[in-house]
Amino acid sequence: MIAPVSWRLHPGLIACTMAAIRRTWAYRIRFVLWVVRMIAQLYLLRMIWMALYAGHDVVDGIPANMMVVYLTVAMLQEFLIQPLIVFEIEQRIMRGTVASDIVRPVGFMQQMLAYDLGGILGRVPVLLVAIPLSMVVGWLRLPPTPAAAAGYAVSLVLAYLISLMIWLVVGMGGFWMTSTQGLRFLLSTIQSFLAGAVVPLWFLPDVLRTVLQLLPFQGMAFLPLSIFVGQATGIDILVALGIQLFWVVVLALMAAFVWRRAQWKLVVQGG
Amino acid sequence: MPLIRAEHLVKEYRRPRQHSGRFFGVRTLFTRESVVTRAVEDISIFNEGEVVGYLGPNGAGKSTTIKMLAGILVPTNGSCEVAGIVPWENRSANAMNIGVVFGQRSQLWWDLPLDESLHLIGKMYRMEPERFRRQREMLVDLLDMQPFLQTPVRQLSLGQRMSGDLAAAVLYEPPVLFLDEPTVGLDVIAKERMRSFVEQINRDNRTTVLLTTHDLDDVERLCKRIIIIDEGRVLFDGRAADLKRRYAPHRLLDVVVAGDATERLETVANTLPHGAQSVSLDGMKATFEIDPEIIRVADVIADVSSRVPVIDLGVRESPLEGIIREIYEAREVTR
Repeated sequence: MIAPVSWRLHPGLIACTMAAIRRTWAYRIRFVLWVVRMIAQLYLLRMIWMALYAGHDVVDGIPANMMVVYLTVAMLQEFLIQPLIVFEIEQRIMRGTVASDIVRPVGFMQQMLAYDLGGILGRVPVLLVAIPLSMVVGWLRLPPTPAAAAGYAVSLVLAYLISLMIWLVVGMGGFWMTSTQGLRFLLSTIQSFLAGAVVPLWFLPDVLRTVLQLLPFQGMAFLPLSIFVGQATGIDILVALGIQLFWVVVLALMAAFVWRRAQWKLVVQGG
Repeated sequence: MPLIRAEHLVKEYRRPRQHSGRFFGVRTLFTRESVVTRAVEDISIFNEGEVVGYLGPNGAGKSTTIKMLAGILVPTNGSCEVAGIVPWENRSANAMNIGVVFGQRSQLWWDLPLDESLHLIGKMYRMEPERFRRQREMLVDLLDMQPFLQTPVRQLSLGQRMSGDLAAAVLYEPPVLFLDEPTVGLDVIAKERMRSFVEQINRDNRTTVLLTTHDLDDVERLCKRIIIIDEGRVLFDGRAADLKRRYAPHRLLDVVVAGDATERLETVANTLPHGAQSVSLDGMKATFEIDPEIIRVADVIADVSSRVPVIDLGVRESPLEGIIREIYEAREVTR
């Protein structure tokens, strides 16, 4: 009844990705607003943290400038890998166009992933402005070692997959729970915190840190960022990647299960 | 050759009963009660090249049937085949054979120019560049889309958007086309464009069209065959002409007489021959209903014009709209 997910590249999927890129670029002014918003957020966060450091150069072994880099990268990568796919899916369900999407020779979920990839590629130009800008003002520097750089690259991809899967699970709940809006609102508000993008887990009380280390969210920000700033080195990099990979697998299984239920609901019960 | 075969298709909807009053949300969430709605399509066979009008009041199950044939919904019971494929078992193969237009919901990409949507669809259906170019050119021409081809879909008028949606549905030349209320909200010109377009692709490509609509002008113009359903029951399946003959065999005769003959017209109206009766009388004008099974229309005309000086007369069939209304209303009574 349900076609298995096939990863053979269909020309339609490439076209979906290209369309999503062009769609991201359809509103030029949004680009400017994105850059402005990002700089403003960075500036404010940096102010708060400098106040918290209160003139100290190092707190709990974390130098102030490392903290700034941490926050900057957190913001940049969050912008890049934000899970807009969930809103895409929700919009299509609400507008009812999901019926047209399902009547395509290309699977619905593959289409959505292709759009999401296009969205990410479409946002890259913003980073091409924001990254040099933050380097010039000294908020961003490169990873300390080639190992950190390579580790971060892998970790970023895994971070994307984790955030994608989490949001797919939450978003697709909407197929059969009348509304997951409450849960989603809660998650979108605290996800940055849970992920360690606002306050690194180092600074949290032991209990809270232990809890967050048992959850998948740290894989979205804290783990890749520790690698980037050089706080996780050597074997720790591999451990971090291992933890991320573990969560990718677990969440992918959950997402597949939820998707199958959602699809069943959609085609059998009429959504 | 039968292109679509649907047998005993049954779709039961089970929805949790919506509670009202205090804590209605929570009670709805935990409720075990449910409301079951049935949509059934008994037996239908659509032949290649047929244009079938699918009528029924709101909620009669028209869209449900289309969704089952399109492979979006899996029926609770029964079977169907579209061009030899069971839609919900092989959705992507079925997708290649069908074009679907949901009048109320666009399949086009909102933020992108119309042309990009067409390109995207061409790729999804693996069209050869040459074939795509030819089809696109033909459709742009046929639907007058050149002026707004590069306009983002969100800025199109409803009529333009519908043209785009139709083009998107037939771009890859599917042998079957499902149109779910394609003219809803369109102005006269856009409706006419839509109708002549459907007529043309049906004629040129022998495309089989299944059309649901509330606009009976669509049906009169396009469909030789009409199926009327309600609550899963087929109330009528046959030619439009037969529908009229069966449910409204009457002809209407409009008569206008000279100003000094209004009294004589009243007398005539009261003494019409058997098989004819007056349905309205207003000064110089009268309308008589004639049952052609009993008396020939020509005989009534001869009778009337021998007794009053007729200035003008005309013969009409009962409009389809009245017939459909009667069928729906009869159903209300028998229920």
